[in-house]
Amino acid sequence: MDPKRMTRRDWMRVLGATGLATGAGALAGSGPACADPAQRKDAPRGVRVAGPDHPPAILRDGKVIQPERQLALLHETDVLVVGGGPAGVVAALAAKRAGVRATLVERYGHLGGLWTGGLVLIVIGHIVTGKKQVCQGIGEEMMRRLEKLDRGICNRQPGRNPTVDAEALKYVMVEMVMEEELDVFLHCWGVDAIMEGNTVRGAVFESKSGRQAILAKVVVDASGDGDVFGAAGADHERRKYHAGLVHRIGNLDQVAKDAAKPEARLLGSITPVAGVRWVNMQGPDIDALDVAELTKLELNARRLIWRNVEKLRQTPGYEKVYLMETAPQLGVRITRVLNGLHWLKMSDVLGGVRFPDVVAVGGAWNGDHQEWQIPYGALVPKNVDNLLAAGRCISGEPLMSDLIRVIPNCFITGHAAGAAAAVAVKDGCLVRDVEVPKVQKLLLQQEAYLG
Amino acid sequence: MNEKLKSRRLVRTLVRCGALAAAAVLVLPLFPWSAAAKAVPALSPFVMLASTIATRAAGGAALFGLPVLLVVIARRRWFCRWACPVGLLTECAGRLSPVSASRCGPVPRIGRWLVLVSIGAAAAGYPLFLWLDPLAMFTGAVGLAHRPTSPAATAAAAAVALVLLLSAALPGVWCLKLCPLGAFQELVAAGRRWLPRRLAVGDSSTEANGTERLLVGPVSRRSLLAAAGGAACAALGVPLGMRAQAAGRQRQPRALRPPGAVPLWQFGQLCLRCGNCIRSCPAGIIATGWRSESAAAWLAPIVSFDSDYCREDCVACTQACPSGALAPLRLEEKPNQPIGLAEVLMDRCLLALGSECRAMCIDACPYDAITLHEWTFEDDRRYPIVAEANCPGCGACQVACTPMAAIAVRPAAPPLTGRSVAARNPSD
Repeated sequence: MDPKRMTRRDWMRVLGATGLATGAGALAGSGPACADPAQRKDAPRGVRVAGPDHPPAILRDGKVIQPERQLALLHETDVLVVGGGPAGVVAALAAKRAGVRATLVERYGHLGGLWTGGLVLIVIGHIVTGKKQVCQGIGEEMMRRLEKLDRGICNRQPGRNPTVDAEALKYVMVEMVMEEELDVFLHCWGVDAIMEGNTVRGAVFESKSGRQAILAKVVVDASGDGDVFGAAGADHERRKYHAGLVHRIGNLDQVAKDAAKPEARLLGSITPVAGVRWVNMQGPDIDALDVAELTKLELNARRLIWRNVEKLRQTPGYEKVYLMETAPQLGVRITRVLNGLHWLKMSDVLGGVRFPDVVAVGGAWNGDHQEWQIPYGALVPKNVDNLLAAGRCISGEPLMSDLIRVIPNCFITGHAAGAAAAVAVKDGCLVRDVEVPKVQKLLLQQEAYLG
Repeated sequence: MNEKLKSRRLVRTLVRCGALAAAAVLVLPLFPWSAAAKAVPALSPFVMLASTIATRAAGGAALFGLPVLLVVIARRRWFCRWACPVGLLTECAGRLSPVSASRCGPVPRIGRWLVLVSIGAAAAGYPLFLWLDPLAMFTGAVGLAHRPTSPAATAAAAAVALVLLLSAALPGVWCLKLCPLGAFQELVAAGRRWLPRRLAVGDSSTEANGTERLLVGPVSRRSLLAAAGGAACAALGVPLGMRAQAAGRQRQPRALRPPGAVPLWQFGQLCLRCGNCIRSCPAGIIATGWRSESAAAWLAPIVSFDSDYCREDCVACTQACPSGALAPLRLEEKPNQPIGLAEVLMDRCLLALGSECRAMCIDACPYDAITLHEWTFEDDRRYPIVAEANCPGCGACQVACTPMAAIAVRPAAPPLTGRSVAARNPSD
């Protein structure tokens, strides 16, 4: 093209096309620093691993053999709390606040155990006749913190059973644990006890980091299933009970006002979140330590829940209701129960028996009987030292199963175990030789109620 | 002779005072033996006879009434003169009155008609007016001294007060004209004339040669007519009783009655309102109310399980009933004569609603009559089921289910035959 002959229009065209080409070229080359994906700079860097971290299990003569090896030490502490449910979190906080080092280990990725992950949500068993709340201490502190959150907790009136929101409580527990600067290990499954003779010296954990040990002066088994005392060889009892999967449904605030009433058991109970309800499942009786039965239950439960929610959705007016979530944790009610220095009995509960070494005071379902006392011996194994049980696995007869497994009982026994462990560490004595009046004093300082 | 009369009267007065004191002691809750109070109203041969006929069974109460009956056959009105506590009280009331004793003459002998109709109706299973028996009234008024506000006690005391008032207004009117027990004794005495007896020598019907003849029956026409009238009166009671039975059988009972109770249509009239069952119950679950599901059952005892239940080791009320309104039961027989049947209220039961519950009803049942419906994935419900064949309606479950009140005992059909229910361990 003759530049002298180009009009202004032609010049504009050339400039425009050049600009476009440059721009397109620039665009094609943007994103990764350069246009070539083989030259990425922020790809995850890898370290070559030639062999296994440790010798694997071997198959020899049709048997699976685990070779003996030394385990890596993950951590060392004063009080090791195995299990991050209501009992474990309270135990760890109690011990730390009493001035000793405390470590909390939990198999899931969240804290709160069945209270949050199991979607139990409701707090039953902390009230006695006359609407008096007897379960106090750190558990009550959690509920007070939830009150400050929007949609954290509801029904916090005297004589009523409050319901928490799972996510809010998970957050509150994390806040409390980080405030105290507790050592926490999540995604760690407590699989074995470390023994020296009859004395527990720590616990072994399996995680993505492999099989590791945590050594401690005192171990609190707040696993709910008594995994640590079971592994340590403590005298205990195994029970079968019904287990179920809880689910939440949403959009109940979109139900037509004049809708027909569906079956009450499909609707479940309220949560602090408007329009969201949680639905209990009583479930079949299983051995919840049998993974085959647990699996069968989970699979069938999901089908049942879907079926029930569909049934609910077919009720005229309920078409917008949907299944929000099934609980991440299966609702196991009871498995291993310690046979400890004291065997809790229902007749003692109803008879109002008092113990000089009381470390926790329990309430009643729906406030239908008086408060009852838990002596220290219910947390202490008979034949194993330096181990305490907390939560639903403390020592008691089958009739007591429903009373010891409720959330308030878990957080008060967790509180007692944490306090007792701290006293044992400070005094340098065995857990069974702890001076209970010191534990009681510490508990009262931490606002527990002991009657 | 005056002296002999005076001393005889003194002895009689002493005996009567003693009888009154003894009756009060037996009836008040002083004896550890709960059936002691049964003795007083059971002494009445009127009650004994009517209840034996009505229930077609001679209960242990016959032990008391039978000797009295035998003496009554021999000696007319001896009971009134020597033993009746109400008689002594009415006589005292009469003495306080300025009215003379002979003024009650024109009053018709209503008592006799009451007795005849009662016995006749008893033949149809429906004795009337047993509750007018003075011993029953006395027991009701004095025996429930520990529960004076109970409607049964109030009514009995009011009845006794009324009797005393009547006796003050017209001395002797109760004992001579109205009292069914007194009238019963007179009827028995009248009947004695039907027994064969020898005529004294010198009577106009002896043969000229001096041999005696035996007379049977009353001789005058008036006596014969009176006897016929009495029989007719008794016969009148029969259709009354049968009509009451037919009407009563259709009615559904709404209140719970103590164990061993005869069917409701009969219960209302067999019950003396003496209050013995109320007094003897260690759980205190028997009471009376002013309201009643039927007129015939007014003030008859009702069982309610507000605070306690019918204990599995107790048959006190059945042993204390003098008239057989509660059949005397042995401990092993009691569950087979149920009070009612427990019913689960599915719209209140926490388990049925899908919630958690410790199922205290199941633990509380002494007869292991409650089981749990099995939860399955096909039928995902867990709730208590009452086994009708095993439940005697003792109410332990109702007391245990607090505060939901989701299980309650309801009146049930008449006792099933062939039941054999046993308590888990009566000594628990």
